[in-house]
Amino acid sequence: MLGFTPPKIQSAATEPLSSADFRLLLEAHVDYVHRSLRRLGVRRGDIDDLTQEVFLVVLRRWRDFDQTRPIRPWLFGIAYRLAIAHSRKHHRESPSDALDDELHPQRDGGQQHESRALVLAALDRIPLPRRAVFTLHSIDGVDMKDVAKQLGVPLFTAYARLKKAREEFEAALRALLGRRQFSELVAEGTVK
Amino acid sequence: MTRMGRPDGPPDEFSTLLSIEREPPRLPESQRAQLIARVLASAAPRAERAPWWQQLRLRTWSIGLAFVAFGGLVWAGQAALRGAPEPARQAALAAASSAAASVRARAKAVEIDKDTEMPIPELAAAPPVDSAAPPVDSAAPPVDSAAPPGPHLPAADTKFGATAGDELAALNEARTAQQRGDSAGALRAIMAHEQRFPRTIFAEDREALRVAALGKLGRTSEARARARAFAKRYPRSVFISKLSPWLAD
Repeated sequence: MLGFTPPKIQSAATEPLSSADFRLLLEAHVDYVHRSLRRLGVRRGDIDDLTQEVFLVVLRRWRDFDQTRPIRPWLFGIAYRLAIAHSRKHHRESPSDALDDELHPQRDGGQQHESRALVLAALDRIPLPRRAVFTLHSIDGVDMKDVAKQLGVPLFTAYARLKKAREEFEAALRALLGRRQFSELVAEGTVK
Repeated sequence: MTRMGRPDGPPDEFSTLLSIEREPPRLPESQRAQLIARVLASAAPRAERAPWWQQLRLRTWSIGLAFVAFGGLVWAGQAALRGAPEPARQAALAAASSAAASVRARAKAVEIDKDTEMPIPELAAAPPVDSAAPPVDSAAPPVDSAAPPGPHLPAADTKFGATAGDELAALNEARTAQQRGDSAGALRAIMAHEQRFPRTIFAEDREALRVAALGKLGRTSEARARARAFAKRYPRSVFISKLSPWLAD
């Protein structure tokens, strides 16, 4: 299996990231960064721009990365900060992309897409700071200490946000599933 | 439409949904290639890039060499045309024009290279790294798409429900007391928490809260001692700035 090894073998922590290592890192994690930005509620039209920004920050801040740790939480932390800044700068002007996905599941079709669309739609209803904790821990499976560290919050705060976010996620999912059931009943003619 | 859960369904169904979302879907190939090319192009000035004087020297030399080679080929072709019989002259003419075209293309490529920050010629053709396998350093285990999604919450969530949730609730009492100005109550709650959870994952938060409570109660020397011990134990803590009044000499 050819997986991406963090480039510490080629680049010591004190050295900048070489272009070859950067390319490997980009190839291995571009999907993850792109998806993370989507989970953080960035509009589809802006995700490519922010993905580019994330990797530029990676280049600038490479020396800050603790190469003994997994890289994904670090990448997520960068994506989160950029998403926060982006959401402050550009107020949401159009309806949620996640909702749009949920209503028009045509891209990869099937149950998996449906599930992913539901998750995104439910995530979209959670405020960004709590959504970041929830995404990093409950979806990416990152340890809560790492979550707190990468998001720059006390562990206690991280746990409190997780607890609240789980409640919000479950409530959102119940509402979405309920609405969908209702739509199905309308479509079947059971409810008029 | 496939039903994945009921409005009154158990939370386990939600964790099934989360496990499906765990491994990010791969971007469509064209979008992926475009995005990677874009990032590489914008990143090039920050990645390895030779100083401008070296780049200028290399480019000048490349273009100069290309023109010298082009001129040489033209001259050789004309010389061959002058002395050779008709069929050989035709063959030499064809060879010279082909070689000249290749040199012109090379010179053009060098010119293009001068404008782009980082050449990425093999991008479209090269297979992406690790296209089939998940990254090694992924924090989450990859989801086997063939296997049915598991009905249970992730291990971390289960642990959260069993222990960290109780610890969190107990420490929250102390924090709430401190917030409403009842520092003595906060201190009592902290001590109770300490007895109940001597090895807690919230030790850092608890200690920071204790310093704040002691300071509020006017027990400054104790607060200072605790704050110094805290700074020694958690030098990179996010609470350090908040405890600075007790850390100052």
